[in-house]
Amino acid sequence: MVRNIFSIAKYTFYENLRKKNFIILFLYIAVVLGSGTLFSMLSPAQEIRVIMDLGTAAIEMFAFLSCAFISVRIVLQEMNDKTVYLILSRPVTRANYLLGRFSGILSIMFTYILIMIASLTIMLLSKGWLWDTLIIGIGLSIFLKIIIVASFSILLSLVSTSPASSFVSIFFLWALGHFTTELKYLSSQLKHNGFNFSFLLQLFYYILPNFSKMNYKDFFHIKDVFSVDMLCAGLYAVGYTIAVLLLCTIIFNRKEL
Amino acid sequence: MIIRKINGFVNLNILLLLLFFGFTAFFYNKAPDTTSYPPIFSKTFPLSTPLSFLASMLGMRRLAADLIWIQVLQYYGERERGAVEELKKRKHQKKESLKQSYSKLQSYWQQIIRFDPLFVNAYLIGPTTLGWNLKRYDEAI
Repeated sequence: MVRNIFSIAKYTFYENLRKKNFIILFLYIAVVLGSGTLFSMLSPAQEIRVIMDLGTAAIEMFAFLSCAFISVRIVLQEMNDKTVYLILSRPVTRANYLLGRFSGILSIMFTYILIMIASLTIMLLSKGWLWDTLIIGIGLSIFLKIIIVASFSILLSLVSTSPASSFVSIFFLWALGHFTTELKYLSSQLKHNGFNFSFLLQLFYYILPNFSKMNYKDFFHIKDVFSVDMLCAGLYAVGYTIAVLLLCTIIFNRKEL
Repeated sequence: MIIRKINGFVNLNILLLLLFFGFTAFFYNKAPDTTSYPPIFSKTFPLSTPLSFLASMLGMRRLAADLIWIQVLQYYGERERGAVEELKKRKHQKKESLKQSYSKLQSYWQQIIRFDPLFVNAYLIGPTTLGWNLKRYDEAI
């Protein structure tokens, strides 16, 4: 079983390298270098802060976009091209196939984030920033978000018929996941003003993946990145991902290919 | 038959699914939200509504604060030249025209602080420009 999963993961990794999805990394490096030069002119007093914020935000956005594009397309395309029959006709269960694909996506995303964090670190060090391990913590917190995004993208690709609709849905999920703190506030305001449907917002608050629990890139200056809170956030992300993957397995097992 | 159904693959998966959702719910409460700041929409925003959406929907509060920081530097820097020339023309109305110029400045500083309440430079430079340069003491406080 592990060998099957590993083979599919390895194939997914090399497939993405062949498709030249890594070009997004060059785009990222161009953004960081360009912004570094621009902000050193526009805001000399806050240069490092601005480069750090823009760099981490760009890492998150590029990682999210590439993860959503890869994971939404990967299963759906194989089902449309009927190439999935070839894999499933061998002694590979559907659950193994999904797990393999998921692990492959995670391995490629981990590599992307690592390269982007390294390029940002080089940029910051060249501007006189003193090395701090928190940048690794920020990278980890971004990776935790990406794990959830990858699992949800696979789920959406299984239930929808086109990659575009899946991509739009995952984007809304990403926005709502960050909006949960505001949702909680809006719900309390609605309740305060006597509206009865505030429980709907509360329901969304608990069901949607709460990305604000992993949003360390915005709060690393007030929160300890390597802490029990971060561990709990990691376990939350892993538990949520496993639950979503189980849901994927149930749907994929019932799906008529 | 019920036992057979429970042992069936789909039902076992559903049980596991419930188990992991329970596990997730447990850690959901254990892991607090990373922010201890007030929610963005608890305040009114007279300027830059797109940036407040960027901050709240994409989780980029610090970046939004940085972008407004650059905006305010440009706003204060660019109009200053015009204001100085105007002051030279009307020296007798100096104090009044100072108070009237840069009408959006306070809103800009407020926004930066609402997005990132720990942006130290905004606290240092904001009140200085308002109180020291523009003589708008109430706004500076």
